Amino acid sequence: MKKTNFLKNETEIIKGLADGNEKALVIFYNIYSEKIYNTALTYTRVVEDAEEVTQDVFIKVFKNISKFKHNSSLNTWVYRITINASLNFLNKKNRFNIFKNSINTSQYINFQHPGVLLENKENAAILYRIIDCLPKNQKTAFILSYIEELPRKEVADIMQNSLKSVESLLQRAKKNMRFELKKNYPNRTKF
Amino acid sequence: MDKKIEKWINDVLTSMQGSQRAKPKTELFTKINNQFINEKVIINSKILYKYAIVAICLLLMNSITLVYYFKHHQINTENVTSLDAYNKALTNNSYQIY
Repeated sequence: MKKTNFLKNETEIIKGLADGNEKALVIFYNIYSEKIYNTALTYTRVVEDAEEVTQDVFIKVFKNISKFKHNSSLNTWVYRITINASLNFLNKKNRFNIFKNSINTSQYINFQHPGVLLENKENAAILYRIIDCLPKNQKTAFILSYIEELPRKEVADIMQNSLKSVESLLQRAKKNMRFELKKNYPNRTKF
Repeated sequence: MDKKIEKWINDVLTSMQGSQRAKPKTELFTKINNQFINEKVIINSKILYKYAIVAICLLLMNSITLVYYFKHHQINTENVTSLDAYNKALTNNSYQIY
């Protein structure tokens, strides 16, 4: 019953957004803003950049909602747009970052996720640095599985891969991260 | 030592467990809402332009049809007028045989 109601609401949200209904926007924002913002923040590590990416994602959703073909759930579709927007933002930023903004670079390196538990702050900061050593697909799989804590099936849908491929990506990601962490263990306090 | 390293690695890898999602600033909704309204205006304008183009096409087609009709009707009217005159001439009393 709950699943049917949720699906019915999803359809109503999609229709409402396509019709320009502001109530639909409020509902959509309440459900998705934190998901989009947190994913963007994990990629960009700078609050202002994450906000910019979030706005960008919402605009893309508004412009394309009428073309949404229900091949996947709305959640999957939104996550896909968010990841692509985050990666495009980082590519653009790196390409035009001739005069490196030292404040943003420092924020990126010393990123502290605002929601992490106090006792885990130090380790979480190290985790975010180590994630950057991963190839793009492994990084995405890790972020969606262990930071966004999405089910594996959903991660597979978002990445348009099989479940087996995602499991393989995660195994390789953890192996690479373990290698980097072990290598840097003696310098862990200097991270 | 290895156990210590393994523990530290596991602690790092699981450090995001139990964390709260970061909340975006409240001003972000205002910015997004404004963009939503702008998008709505743009989409409505596009729909209006489409209706306007369709209306113009219909008007043009009707105008062409009307012009063609009146031109064609004028020619037919001329033909009828000459036919009428012919018939009138036939029934004219001045053509009495007797």
